[in-house]
Amino acid sequence: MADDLHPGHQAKEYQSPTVVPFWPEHLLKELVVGFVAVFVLVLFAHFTPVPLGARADPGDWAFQPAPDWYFYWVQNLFDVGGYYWSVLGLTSLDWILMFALPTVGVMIFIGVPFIDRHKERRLLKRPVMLAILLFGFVFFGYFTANGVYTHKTLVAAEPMAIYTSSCATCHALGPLGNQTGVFKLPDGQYIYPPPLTNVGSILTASEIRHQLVQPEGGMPQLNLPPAALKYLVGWLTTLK
Amino acid sequence: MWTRLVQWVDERLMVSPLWRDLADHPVPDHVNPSEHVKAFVYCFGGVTFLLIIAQFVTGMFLALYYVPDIINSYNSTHYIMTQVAFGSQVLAMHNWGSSLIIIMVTLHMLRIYWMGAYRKPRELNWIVGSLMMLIILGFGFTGYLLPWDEKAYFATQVGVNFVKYVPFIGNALFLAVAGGPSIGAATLSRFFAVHVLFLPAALLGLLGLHFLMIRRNGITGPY
Repeated sequence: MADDLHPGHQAKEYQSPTVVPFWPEHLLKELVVGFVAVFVLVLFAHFTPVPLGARADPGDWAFQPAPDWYFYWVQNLFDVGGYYWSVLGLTSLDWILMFALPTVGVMIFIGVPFIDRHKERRLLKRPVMLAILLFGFVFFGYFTANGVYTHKTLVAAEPMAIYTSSCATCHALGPLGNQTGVFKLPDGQYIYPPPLTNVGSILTASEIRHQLVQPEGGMPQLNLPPAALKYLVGWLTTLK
Repeated sequence: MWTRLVQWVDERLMVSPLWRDLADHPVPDHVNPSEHVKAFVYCFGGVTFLLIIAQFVTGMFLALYYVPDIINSYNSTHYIMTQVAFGSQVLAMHNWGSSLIIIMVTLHMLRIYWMGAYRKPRELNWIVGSLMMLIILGFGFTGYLLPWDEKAYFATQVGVNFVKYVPFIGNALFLAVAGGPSIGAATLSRFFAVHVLFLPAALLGLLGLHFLMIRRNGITGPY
């Protein structure tokens, strides 16, 4: 079946008697594999609904964003790279880190057929390509894992950061914050903010949320954004 | 009756030579899993294509209900998840399907790389494939904004801010991508249009080239 239109069909593997036509012998079998994949997707989707968060609030200063799993490496690469870049004092040359190097990376990816000058096809006999592949595994693996770890760390640290910026002026937390137990409001009135050290064993989660949203007992309205509320309520209930 | 109808159409369209060329084209046994079980690695590309078709179908049905503006994108997504028959299922398939495509297309790419199948005369097909990989990542990035929940908004903010680092045109590029000084209504419209019109058009064109080149060059010989 070799012809002028399809010069690839002149190769010797196409002349073997075990060659089968694409339709129906091959495609029907390949479709079985494909439908298994689609079936897996149907089942997975059935048991794993999409996680829809709270409505976007551009003023939400507390929210710690996470990308889809296959983009963690991008953010983490630029975070880690940016840190060392500034340690090296190269901040004015940010475009090299943020634009030139990624462009080189994409060009290497697109240009693989022109980088591979080896005669052999066996990967073990193509040391340059093997090195690029192993570098890729380590590179994407490290920055993805580190990105997930960094995100978890930031989410875990966020309630304490909110406490320090929004609560510590009035409330004590163990040795932290206002240790006097009294605070003078701008209008001269005195209030007595309780320590938060054991707040989780005194108030329930919904009582804590209510106090944060509609404060009572002289506590000022903090107008906390949704993410700050979510992080704070979860954290305060664990203080027992 | 049926035969005559087909003949009538074919006299005018003349597709049957094309169909015969497609249907009869030979498949060598080293890529045929029923001849060699290890040939399953040759299925990754085809499975990716089938999953892309599934994304098109689920995306079309989501577009029946989805409204791309900053008030109703969240509301309509919530409506799809809670009110529409099979809405939650279709949305979840579209959402997780993107991850599955990334996995399958990566396996496909690793197979090509491992076997050195991008050698002459197939260099151009690697280039087209790598461009499609970038387009698929673009689908993932633009689609992530569309539900307009907190993670969508702030992850997009992080991502779009990276274009500011492009020398000379960075700020102009940011305005072009975001449609304004910050992520907002214009960004959502743009990302929606890119996600459902621009990227699918580009992907279909490149897929056509990809398959045409496989037919022209044949499949690489046994590894």
